[in-house]
Parts: sequence; C-alpha cells; structure tokens
Amino acid sequence: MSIFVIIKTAFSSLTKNKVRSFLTLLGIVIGIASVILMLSIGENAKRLIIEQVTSFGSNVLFVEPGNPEESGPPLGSDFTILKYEVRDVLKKLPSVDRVAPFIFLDANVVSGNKDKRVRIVGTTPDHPDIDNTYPIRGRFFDEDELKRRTKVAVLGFDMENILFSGEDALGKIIKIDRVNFIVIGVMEKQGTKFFQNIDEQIYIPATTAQKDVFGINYVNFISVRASGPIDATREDVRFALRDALKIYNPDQDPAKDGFRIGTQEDAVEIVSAVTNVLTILLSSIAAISLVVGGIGIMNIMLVSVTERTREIGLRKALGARETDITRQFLVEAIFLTLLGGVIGVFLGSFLAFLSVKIAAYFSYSFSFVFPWQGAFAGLFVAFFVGLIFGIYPARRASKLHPIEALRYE
Amino acid sequence: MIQLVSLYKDFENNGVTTKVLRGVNMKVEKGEFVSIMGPSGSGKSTLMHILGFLDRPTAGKYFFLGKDTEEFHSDQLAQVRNEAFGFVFQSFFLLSKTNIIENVRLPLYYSKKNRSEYDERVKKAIESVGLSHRMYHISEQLSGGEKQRVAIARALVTDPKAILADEPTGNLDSVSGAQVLTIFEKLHKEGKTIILVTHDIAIAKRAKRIIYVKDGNIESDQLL
Repeated sequence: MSIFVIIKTAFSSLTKNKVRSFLTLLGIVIGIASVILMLSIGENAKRLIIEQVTSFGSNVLFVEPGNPEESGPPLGSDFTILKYEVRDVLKKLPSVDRVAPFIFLDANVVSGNKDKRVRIVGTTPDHPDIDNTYPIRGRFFDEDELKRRTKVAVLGFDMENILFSGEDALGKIIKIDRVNFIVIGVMEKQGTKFFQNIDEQIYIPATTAQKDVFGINYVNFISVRASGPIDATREDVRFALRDALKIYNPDQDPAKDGFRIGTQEDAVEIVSAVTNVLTILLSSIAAISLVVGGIGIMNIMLVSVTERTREIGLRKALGARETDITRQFLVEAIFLTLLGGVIGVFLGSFLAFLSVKIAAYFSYSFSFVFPWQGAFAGLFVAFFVGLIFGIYPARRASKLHPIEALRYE
Repeated sequence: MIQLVSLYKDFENNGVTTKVLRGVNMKVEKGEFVSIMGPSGSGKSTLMHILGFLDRPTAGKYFFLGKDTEEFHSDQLAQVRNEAFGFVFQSFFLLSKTNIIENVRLPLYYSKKNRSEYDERVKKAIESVGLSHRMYHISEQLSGGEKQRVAIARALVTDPKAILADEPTGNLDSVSGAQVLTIFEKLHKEGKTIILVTHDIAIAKRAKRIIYVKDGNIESDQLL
C-alpha cells in the first residue's frame, strides 16, 4: 500500500469521528503548547537577566559581604564588613581602574508637598563609568563634592517627574531624611534591573550618605573596574581587601574571607544555571501533559481498533499484510499527534507572544521571538508520542485473525 | 487447482476442543462451479475459510496449484488471498461512508498490480456487475442486492483464480438473490472457478457440482 493511500485512509477514518479526533488531539495540543510557552518564558527571563548583568561590562568585579558558600547579608542590611575606606586602597592598585562603593538604604524624600519613601544610593563619581550610565541633564557629583560631603543629589529618571511633576528639577532643593540636598543632575532612563526600578532611585555622595543621612560606617557593596586581565585583578583585590579589612585568613581560603568577589561571568553562569533548571523544571511539568496526551491517543486508538475489528478482518481477507495494517494505524496515530503538535506550536507561540505583551505592560523588556527550536522539538516530540503510543494498538490490530475479526459483532 | 488431503480443523474454546473438520479429502479443478452444502454447524464455512487461506488447518495437507501451502508465512498468505481469491460474504463487508469505486479499488491497494491499471480494472469490475451508473454512490445508500454486487466487483477486481462466496444470498430478497446468482453463472461461463457455500438446496443446484458436508466430513460429492 503506497504511503499516499495510507495517509488518505488515515485522514478519512479520522474525519469520520471529527469530535473524537479533536478531543484526542487536544491532549497533545495542550502538552506541546505548554512546553513551548515554558521554554519561551524561560528563555526570555534568562535573556532579560543576563542582559542586565552584562550591562555592567565584562571587566567589572563585584565585592559583596559574606562567604561564597553562605548567602551573606542581603543588600540594605544593617551591617556589613565592607568599609568605605577600602576604596582608597583599591584605587591605588595598578590593576584597578575605577572603584565605586555603594550604600543602599531607603529614606523619606520630601519636595514641596510630595513625600515619598525612596531608595537612596550612596556612591562615588566612578559609578557612571562602571555602570555605563550617565546623566541626561546636569551632571554627576565629583571627587571634590565627595570629599567635602556636599549635599548634592542626582535623581533617577522617573524621580524628577515624581517629585517635581515634570518641572525642571535642576537647582531645586529636596529633603532626604530632613537633610536638604540640591539637585544637580538627572540620570538617563535605565528601567528595571534585578526587580528594582533603577529610575526611582536618588544618588548622593557615599560620604554624605554615611555621615549626614544614615549615620553608618559600612558599605553594602563595591564595584571595581579592572584595567587589566580580570582574574589577576580579582586576586589583587582579594589580597588588598584582606589586608585593609585586617582579615585573619592563614589558610588563604577564599571561602573564609568574609567577602566574595564575583564577575559578570560568574553572575551570568549562576543566572543561566538557575534559569536553565527552572526552564527544565517547568518544561518537564508541561511534558507530563504530553505523556497524558499520549496515553489518550493510545486509548482512543485501542477503541478504534476494537470498533474496526471487522474492517481490519476485511482488509486482511482482501490481502492486507500485517505491515499494511500496522502502518495504517500507526499513521493514524502519528497523524493525530502531529496535527496536535502543529496546533500546539501555534497555540504555544501565541501564548508566548501574549506573555511578552503582559511582561511589557509591567515594563520588563521581554521580546517575542518565534521559538523555532521549540517548534521543531515540539513536532519531533509529537511525532514520537504518536509512534510510541500508536505502536501497541497498531500491532494489536495487525495480529487480528481475519476470520475472528470478520465474525466480530 | 485445489487439493485437500485428510484435512482436520479443531477449535479450542475455554479448554474445550471442537472437531469441526475431520479428515476432508477433496479436489477442485480450474473453471468449476461448486456448491458446498450442509446444515449449519457442519463445517462448510470453516472449509471455505481454509480454502481461501483465511484460516489454517490443524492437520492435513492443502495443495494449491500443486504447491504444499503448509509453510506459507503470513505475508505469503496475504498475497495468495489478494491474488488468487475473491471473497463474497453474506453480510457484504463494504467500507461504510465510502463510495463504490473506493470499495472496489481496495484489494488493488494491497496488490502488486500496476497502479496505471487501477482505474481500468475498477471500471471493468463495476461494469461486470451492472453498477456503472452508481459508481460514485456511497455504499450505505445502496440496496442489499446492490451492495452484494459491489462486493462481487471487489472480488473480481484483482482478476483472481477463484471466487469464494459464503451464503452470498443469505441477506437478500429473492429478486436480488437471483440477480447475484445470475452474475455467478455468467462468471462461470467466462471461465472463473466459483465455490459457493450455502445451506439452500435450490441455490446449490445452480452450480455444476454439489459437495455435501456433514459433521466435518464430505458425505456426498455429485456432478449435476
């Protein structure tokens, strides 16, 4: 029997039971669609986070408190071993180009009748260079202002609108925890990073933040830009910090330093690992529905074999070989799953597209890319689901005894 | 063409063995028109199934065209069923919701015949049973007599050596039954071998030879 006739036969027998065929392939549709959707969401989340991580540049080191094996104090916690003074030590290292310590704390910001709780970022003039982000108007504070603990503030892009309702903020006064600051600049738009809206922050000199606003003597975090090879710089920074912070570590074990130094690559690696695991997990859950769908296919094919026992007997009486009958039922099963796969790919892509639109609404820059890989994988999987779950009913049909099949009522 | 030597067929059902055929010996030559007669349960249908390779004997020899068929494997059996025999059943066994042409064409799909001959063969087979005017009708729209004529056309389409008919008029009224028998007579005149299974003596007498089967054996074998 030619493959064309087999496909035609499969098509006509499936269209004889349109509702049943549709309900059967629905299982495959849902399975494939959810796998595609999960892959797309995972891919987008990964891309988004990596984009944010890599926006710092590959030559930047991050120094955080806490040992590598521990989770360490989170940003904004009350105490860290990192001190502002290590900035000067690190700056003197020949392999270091820029250093920016960070203090992240929330404060009440008042401007006119506006009053808002805002994330204050205490840092140094090196920050724009390291972060690759600059003021669109006005300027960032300079070294002199940092040393003199000047009360100047640079607003995140959205803060100008929030505090001044669209009026020019440059030169205006704001109160940060009752301390008067003069606005000297507005940063360019940066959007959301690590689930923080960067545009709703206010930058002030780290010295001012420590002494005049929060009364603390630590920093949360230090960014270091290397001028040479990143790995050598990492070691330089490690030794300089142990020295400067008077950390006793005779084993020279980085796990016992009390701080950790990460690179963008480390972060990308971690993010990739996490999102990959997440994607696999979500896709596996979605894949379970594929197995369920496959069992549905097998079930309906078995029903179909029983219903068509006489037809099978007739075909055998007319000269159909076992392989002819096997092929006919296998093609029917694969036809069902492949059709389900195609519909599933389109449905999944459409849902992925919707998820991108929804994410965009929450200002995450997800972008929709038709998941070619997922589509082909989906069709491939659909084909194999049909093959695997179709083979048993098909073999059973082919083994029917022609006379017993013809006698079947 | 066909020779059975001491053929036995037992059926097992829940551990109970039923001996249906008990040492049948018979011969059918090419071009014969044979009726196999007998009361129900005599084993006449089983005999026909074995003749047509729809079933296999438990013991004994079946020589077909001089060849011992004992060693035939399932693909060979399928090929013999397709090329050597055309079957006509009591309850027609047409594909429902399928038109006459496709029903008649069905055996060709399983044959090794040249695809370019399909249309011609189908047309000829339908013509020979007088249904050319209904070629595109769906089998469900046909009367019983027409259905059986479609089944005969389907049996003829591969140009088989023999037609095996199992109570072909059993589900038909007398007029349609007569039409079907007339077709068999015509085919016989054209040189086809025809083996007709029936329990009705009036129908059996349309053949040229009657084999009477009783209790799994041939009781009488007479030429008319």
